[in-house]
Amino acid sequence: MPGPIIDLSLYDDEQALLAGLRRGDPDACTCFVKRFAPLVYARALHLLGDADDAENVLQTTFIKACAALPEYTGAGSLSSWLYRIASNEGLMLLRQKRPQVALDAVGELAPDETALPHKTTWAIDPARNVLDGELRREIAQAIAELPDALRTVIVLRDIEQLSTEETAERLGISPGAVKVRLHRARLRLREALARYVEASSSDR
Amino acid sequence: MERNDHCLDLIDRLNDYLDGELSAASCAELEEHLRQCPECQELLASLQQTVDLLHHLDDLPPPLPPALEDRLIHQMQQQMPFKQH
Repeated sequence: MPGPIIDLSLYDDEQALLAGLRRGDPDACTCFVKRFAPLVYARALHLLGDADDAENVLQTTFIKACAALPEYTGAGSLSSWLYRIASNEGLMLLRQKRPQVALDAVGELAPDETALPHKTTWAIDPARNVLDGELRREIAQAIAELPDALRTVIVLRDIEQLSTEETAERLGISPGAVKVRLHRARLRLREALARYVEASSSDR
Repeated sequence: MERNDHCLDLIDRLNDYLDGELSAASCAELEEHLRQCPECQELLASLQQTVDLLHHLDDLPPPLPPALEDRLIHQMQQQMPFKQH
């Protein structure tokens, strides 16, 4: 059953939203979720490659954010704070679920990286085309199919856009290892995109 | 020009180049190669596009499934440990 219509613009301002949350206004809660949950969920889905796990991380992130709100100082943006909680929760869940395959294990990387990349020319306008649902699903699927060690690096470096050093610190690996994995992950995603572009153009 | 071992060696540096993390000397060597190798130019261009797509992937995330959004809002409103009584 749909809830009451509320004016989301009431909490456009982050300070007003924080004040609303701190005084327990249910509308502030609704705005908080509507404004930030889609991106938290999307990031968790990229990181984990599994909808149930992403939902789990989404819920834990908001529970932890609620609990930490009284101490939240407002330094940095609310969104960065939330995404950091979400990616930490996601990485923790990955480590719990697959303790036998540590995120710093290089053994799970398939030894196919010396092959020369697929030869193809293509041009995609990123700003316009990620709005195309089919391309977005294709990229998300290609990311989900990467091994954990590559997927975590590409999500932190290229989607969350952390620096090499920050990514290394979050994953507990060296900056050099981040670069090697990023290189492999980008080549694999490029291959997946090249195949998609070729298949799409031959359909026309 | 067909790809050769030199290309393979330079492919490893393309991402550092894109990220601005290559030394000046390596940059100059790579750029010199790129001027002569259309294959590597195409690879660089498509890698750049791949990275650009990833940067924009979450520009407009799809809305949550409605049932999930409702559950989350309900859960938050129940929680509210921060509520000042």
